[in-house]
Amino acid sequence: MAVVISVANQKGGVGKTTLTMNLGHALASKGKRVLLVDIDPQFNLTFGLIGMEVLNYENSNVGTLMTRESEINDAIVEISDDLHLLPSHLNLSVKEIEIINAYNRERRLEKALTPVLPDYDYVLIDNPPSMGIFLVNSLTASDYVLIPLELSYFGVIGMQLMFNLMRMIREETNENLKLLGLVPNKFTRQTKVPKTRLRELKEAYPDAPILTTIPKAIALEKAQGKGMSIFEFENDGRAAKAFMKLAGEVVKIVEG
Amino acid sequence: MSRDKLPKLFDGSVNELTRPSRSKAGEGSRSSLKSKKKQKTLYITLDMNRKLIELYGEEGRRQSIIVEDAVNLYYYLKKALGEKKFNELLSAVGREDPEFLAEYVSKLRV
Repeated sequence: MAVVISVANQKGGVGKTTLTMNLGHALASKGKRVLLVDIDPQFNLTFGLIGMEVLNYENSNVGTLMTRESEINDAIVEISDDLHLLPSHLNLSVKEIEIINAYNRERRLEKALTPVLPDYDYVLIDNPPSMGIFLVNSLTASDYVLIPLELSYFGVIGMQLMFNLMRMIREETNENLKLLGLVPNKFTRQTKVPKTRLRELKEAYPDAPILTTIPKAIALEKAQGKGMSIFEFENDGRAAKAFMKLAGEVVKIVEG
Repeated sequence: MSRDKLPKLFDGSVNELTRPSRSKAGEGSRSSLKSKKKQKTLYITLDMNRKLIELYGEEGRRQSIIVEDAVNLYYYLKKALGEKKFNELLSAVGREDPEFLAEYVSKLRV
């Protein structure tokens, strides 16, 4: 049975999509069967993985699953043997209104994913930054939350908002939701800010589980621009090594 | 407010977040909490939930449309009948007896 991990932070641009995509590839390369779920109406993960093919999934995507207009097996796209995608689509933001008005609205994603959970080891969900029905569905369906963290003023604020949202979800819809860890992202030593913020974060939350730091790397942006994972683009670079290390940590925490 | 120092916006324990929520004492209280939570999430009773599922099945329509129909019925019947007669109709509906309701509606005069 798959372990479901939400990659979430209520700040945009912290690297949620990059983390979901590359962690997915890293886990798959370790022999894990991985399903990536794009529940962000901006569909960056979907576009990064299948490009303009996204247009073919107008009637079978994460939104139509949540409104029960399609079946999950019709919506899953095979990226490689062990890496599959449940795509988002341009029409996802329109579906939001429908889902908000629907019965059992917080559990639509959970219900949709349940039939395929036995087929995977890991389900990674790429979330929108806004606190709306999609993020609530995602956290309700998840076992763990992984928070990518930009070590800036607003980045750390966004992380704290996620802590509060997690507490709310644990009280309301999913008492088993757990924090998997924080992943400091886009780390650079070119300025003192990231190091200072990291120190402040550790002072404010000494118990925070801080996982592998992902360095700021041009290769990551270039890889995304070409629709490639960091492993396909620069397999021996710092970023690729960091993602492999992170995947190892995730497996160790989740599987013990 | 200065932006030099980070404000602390979360007053709970992060360590606590890394573990499942503490279960409430006893299995019995957990199951009652579960049903309470379900009602809270749906904002309707379990009986109403069952009726909704049945309606969706029979109608083969989108759930949001059924909810909209229900709201429209409520809104316009109340306007058309006036407060007193509308409340009377609701009481008749509340008996959950289709035959009684059919008889009541056949005699209803606006």
